[in-house]
Amino acid sequence: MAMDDHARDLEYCTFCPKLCRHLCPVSNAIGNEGLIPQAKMQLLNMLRRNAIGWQPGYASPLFACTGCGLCTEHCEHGNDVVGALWDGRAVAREQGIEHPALERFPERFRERGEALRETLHQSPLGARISSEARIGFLPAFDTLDAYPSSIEDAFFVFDALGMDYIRLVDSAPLCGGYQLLAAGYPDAARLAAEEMIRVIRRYATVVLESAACVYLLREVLPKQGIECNTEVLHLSEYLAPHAERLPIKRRRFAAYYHDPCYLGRYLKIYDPPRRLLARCVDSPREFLHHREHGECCGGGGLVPQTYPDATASQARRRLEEPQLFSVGLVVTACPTCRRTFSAAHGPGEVLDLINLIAWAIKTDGSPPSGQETSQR
Amino acid sequence: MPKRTLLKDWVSRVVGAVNTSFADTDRSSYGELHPDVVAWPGSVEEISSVLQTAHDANAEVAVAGSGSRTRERWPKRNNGKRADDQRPRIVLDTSRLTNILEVDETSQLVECQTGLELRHLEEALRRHGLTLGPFPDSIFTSTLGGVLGDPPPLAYSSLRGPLHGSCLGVTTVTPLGNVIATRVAPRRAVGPDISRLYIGSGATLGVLVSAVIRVYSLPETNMARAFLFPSAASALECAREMLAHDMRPARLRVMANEHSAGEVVMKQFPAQAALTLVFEGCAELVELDARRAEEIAAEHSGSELPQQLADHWAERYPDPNPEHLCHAWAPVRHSTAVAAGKAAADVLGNTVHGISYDQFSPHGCHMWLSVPEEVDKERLAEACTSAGLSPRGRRHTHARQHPLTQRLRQQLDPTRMMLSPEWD
Amino acid sequence: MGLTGTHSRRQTAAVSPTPKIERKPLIRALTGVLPAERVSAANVDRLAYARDQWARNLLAVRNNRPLVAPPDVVVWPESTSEVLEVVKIAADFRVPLVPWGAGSGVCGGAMALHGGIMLDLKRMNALVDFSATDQLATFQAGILGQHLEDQLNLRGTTLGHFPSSIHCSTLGGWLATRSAGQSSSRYGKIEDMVHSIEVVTGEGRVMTCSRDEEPELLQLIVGSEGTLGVITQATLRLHPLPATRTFRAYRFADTQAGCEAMRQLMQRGLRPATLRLYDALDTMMVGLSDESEENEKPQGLRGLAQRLGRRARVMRGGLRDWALRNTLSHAKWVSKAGERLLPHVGSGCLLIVGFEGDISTVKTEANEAHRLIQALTGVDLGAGPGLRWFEERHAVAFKQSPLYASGSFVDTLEVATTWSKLQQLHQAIREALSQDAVVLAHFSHAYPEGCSIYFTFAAAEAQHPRAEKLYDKLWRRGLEAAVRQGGTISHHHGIGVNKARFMHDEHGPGLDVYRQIKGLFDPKGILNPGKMGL
Repeated sequence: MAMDDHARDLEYCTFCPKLCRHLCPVSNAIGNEGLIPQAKMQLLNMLRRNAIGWQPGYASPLFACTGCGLCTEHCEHGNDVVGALWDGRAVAREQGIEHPALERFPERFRERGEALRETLHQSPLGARISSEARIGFLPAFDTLDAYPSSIEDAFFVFDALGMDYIRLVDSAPLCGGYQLLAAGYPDAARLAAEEMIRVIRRYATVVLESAACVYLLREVLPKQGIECNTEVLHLSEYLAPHAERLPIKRRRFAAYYHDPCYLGRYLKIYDPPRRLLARCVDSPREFLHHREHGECCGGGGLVPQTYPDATASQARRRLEEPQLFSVGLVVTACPTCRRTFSAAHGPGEVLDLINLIAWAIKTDGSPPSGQETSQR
Repeated sequence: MPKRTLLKDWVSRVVGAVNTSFADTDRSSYGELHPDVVAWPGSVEEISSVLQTAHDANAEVAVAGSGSRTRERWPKRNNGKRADDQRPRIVLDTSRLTNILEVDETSQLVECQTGLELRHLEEALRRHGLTLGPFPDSIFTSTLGGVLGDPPPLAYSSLRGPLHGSCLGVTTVTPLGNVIATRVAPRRAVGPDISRLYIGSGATLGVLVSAVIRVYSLPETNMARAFLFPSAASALECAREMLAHDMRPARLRVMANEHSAGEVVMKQFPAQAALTLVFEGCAELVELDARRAEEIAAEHSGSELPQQLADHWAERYPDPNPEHLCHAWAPVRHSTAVAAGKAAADVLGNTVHGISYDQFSPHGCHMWLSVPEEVDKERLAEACTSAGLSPRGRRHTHARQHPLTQRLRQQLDPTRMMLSPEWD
Repeated sequence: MGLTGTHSRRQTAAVSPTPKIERKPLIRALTGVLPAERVSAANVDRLAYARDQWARNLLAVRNNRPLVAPPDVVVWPESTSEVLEVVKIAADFRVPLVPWGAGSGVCGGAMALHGGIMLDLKRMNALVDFSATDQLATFQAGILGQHLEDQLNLRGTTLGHFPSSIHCSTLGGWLATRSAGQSSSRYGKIEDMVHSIEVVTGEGRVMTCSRDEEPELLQLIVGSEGTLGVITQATLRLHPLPATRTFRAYRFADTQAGCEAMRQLMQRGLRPATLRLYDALDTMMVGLSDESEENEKPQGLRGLAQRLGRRARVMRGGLRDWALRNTLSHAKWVSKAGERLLPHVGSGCLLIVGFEGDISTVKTEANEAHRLIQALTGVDLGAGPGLRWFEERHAVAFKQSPLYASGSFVDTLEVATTWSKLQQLHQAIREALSQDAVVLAHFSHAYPEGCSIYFTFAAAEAQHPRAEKLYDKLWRRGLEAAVRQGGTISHHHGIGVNKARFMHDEHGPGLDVYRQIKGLFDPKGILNPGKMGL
């Protein structure tokens, strides 16, 4: 059984006194003991040991994970909870137990990708698409869905830096298949990844908006023997060396920086986005828990579909802190985080770093949230 | 009245004839209680037997020396005349229970019977280099049973907390004669703290026979400071700040003249407020705290008063509440202390002789109102209520009014054997 | 895969198919007062709530029996009034109701021994009120410890309560069991920190009691482990965040000398935030010096022992498991050898002293403590061990999993007594346990009048039910020794199921008073039945 690869981690989690439970965004939001990392791992372990048999309800806890990896970060044994749960999702499917919210997921995934690609081609940005360029830019699913103007912002910033040679990548899935992996479809995910690799091979460098995708291409696939010589960079990584060249006057206001889980904990990219933020605002703020301890927005791991309340509640909880200190702007470097926070309808503004940079170049007026923030 | 005769007989058999009295002189020395028998038991076993006897005879028992002061109003008994339809009544006087059972110098604990007056206990402790703590002199005339049975609000030190908080264990006898000795440990996690049930209960749930009390090394040194502030608000803010910054004065008081005639302690400074402090303990910390007190006071526009005055106040600290005045007190939080004083003064007008704040913790303090005896008690109560306080008069066993506590008493003493002026 | 050797391919079981309680009408009643998604009788949820962290439950899990005591139904109320409604339903149906915080209790106190309703309070996790001026904050009882502390830290304050379970326990659980934190010598235990509580009694009444108004009731509810009522919220006393923090460690020849230093320090009126003394074996396990920056390099046997101890601490994976199992299965021999050898080769006993608070006070107190300890022959080891302890203070429980996975077990027993009885208590319990287990101890919650002793005992026994039998025997012996020496049977873990049969020894006739109180608060006996020897 596939779960035996995780045997040590499952055993250790089973006997652990729940030491990472306070970090799990899903169980914190729902309050159900069955959703804490230890309980999810024990459930899998008991199934693996045949101490209990599969039942229909047993799949849902496996889908109560945003993949944020805080539990692993905190764990002295480094137990890979996300890996075990996502493999567990696949096993659950083999057992004929699927999460009702994820029915026909691969088909829907592909349809969404096709539709978004079509939209992109139809838009004025379509002119920027090319597979001939040396450097390609690949926006994230959520950007195309919710924030198409972010792509304009990105090209505005590229242009401002004289990088008019960057072109949009023309890729059918527009994604390495991270979501398929999260949905328990490792085979479909592998196919999507291979397809993506075929596309990006044409470029010397690809700049990606999705940190999860960067992680997949840079860390996960090579371990599975899927290599590609293209340099894969996250947008913030790509821009950070040029931070000082950005034609910006630093603004007098405060903004919190939220570390996206995949950019931070997974890729250990903490400083580049901070460097860019510090070019834009004079008072960058840190959350009480930041960098490798930064909390999740609640939007990963398909949790917005499987436990939508958990996503909303976690996002609201995260936004309480800036509110407490009357800071009206939160900046992140991930469209999914931005989308998740915005959906939580907090009082302040949530922006992607690229939006802030573009705005800072364009204007010299008031902050984007329209309110001067108090200096504490 | 054969039942009463029999009861006397039984009681004297338990505690001995010399420790039993039926004489009118003795029987009338307990206020309105007018018992049939007075017994002076000398041990736990004797108390247990007397209570069992009383229970069998359906008698009532009042405990003298348990904080249920005899001058208070007890249930009337036809002016002392016995009536056949009334239950026989026994007074258990704890004044023979004066033994110090153990002084554990290593653990700084003393086990003592409850009939002992605190000044005698303190004398004995000092011979071991120990003390009960920096509590006002006025409480030392009480018995141990008195301060545990009915903790007076003055028995408090900002450094040591309330005196009854130093009690680590009690030996009590229940109305049915069972002896409960709680295990002594610095802290326990073994269910509800039963000893807290008996502390502050007068003698309504049982008879407190002995207690184990935490005591302290005699302080190496002590030091007094006093500061004058333009307003009660600044003095109180200064006090709060000091406590929030780790300072633990043995005693701390703010006297506010702003809204009172200031007749209590500081006539010489009309319309101002004074803060007095006493530090004690190990020399280095006392010196540090005194120095920091000066700094913090200066930050709050406090000016230091002469050492002589500070020492004077430190010494006469024990009795800020002279007998000719009538007092009410209530716990207030730091955030409401100033407003509470003003509100009370608005109601009482110029009849207020003193408003002071005492028994400080980092979270609040007690506000004391002092008015002349002739001021209507109802007005005092009204003043307190309008200040958002639940007023408390001279009697201190204010709690115990909770319906659940009342029912608990019913449960533990179903025949209402234990008498109390509070409850009946 | 056989990591544990207990991996049996037996008939798989569904969650307890024979409920003791008529579930349908109960669920109907519960969904009448709570939304359907906050009432669950699903097997997956009953499994998740089937045990707490009592070590004996881990033995059952290792034996492929995770369903130790599943409840019939789990509910997640969001307000005091919802808790009240659930309690009323439990009373009407006369079914057990067990309050659940985070299930981190180590005595079985949160187990649904007789099924019934598991009332999880974790959705009640709000900060209700905060006053910086009064240094008071009111929280709902279901908030996790670390979340509570985070909320306070953001507002410039701290509760000062740092149990090693801070990540996996709730405020309600702390109050229900009289929890203690690692800085209790300065800040006190939770019963010292609570200003007032709100509780729903088994009678179905909401009651608040405070330190000022109903101190007697407050101290009855605190520590009652869910047998009298469900604690729904509490107001706590706070402290400003410390401006500074310092550590210094010392070596003493034995625990007696170390305890004497602790006693004098506390009785001198100093308020250390950290005061921990490790016995010789525990000292070897935690390490005496900062490994990156050695303060002393002992030679000869002592140096060798230290190096071995260090090696044991960093050993990884299978090798460590093997070494551990072998050490533990010869517990008696190890103990004997330790007793003879440690005084000669051991590192002595490590004492860590830490102060925190205002800068000038901390400096003065630390100097005073240093002077006092040096006069008592404590050898200065510098800041290293203290800093390392602080860094790793919440990590010690991670060591539990490898032990269980390798076929051993480990548990902790915490007792307390006055200074004058402390050494005898330590000796007696160590002797009682060390015949069958390797025993470490440290003294970590000191008060002017006494101290607690925290024993860790580990033994190798992978077979069931032999492991359970050995486990029970160790506890019986340990607690008998505690009672014999006049110590209390629990300083801060509580009673639950594990220590219930010692409640009479602890309380004597006082237990009857507790029973009477129980009768009043919970006349139908629905609250957390089967616990605390009631």
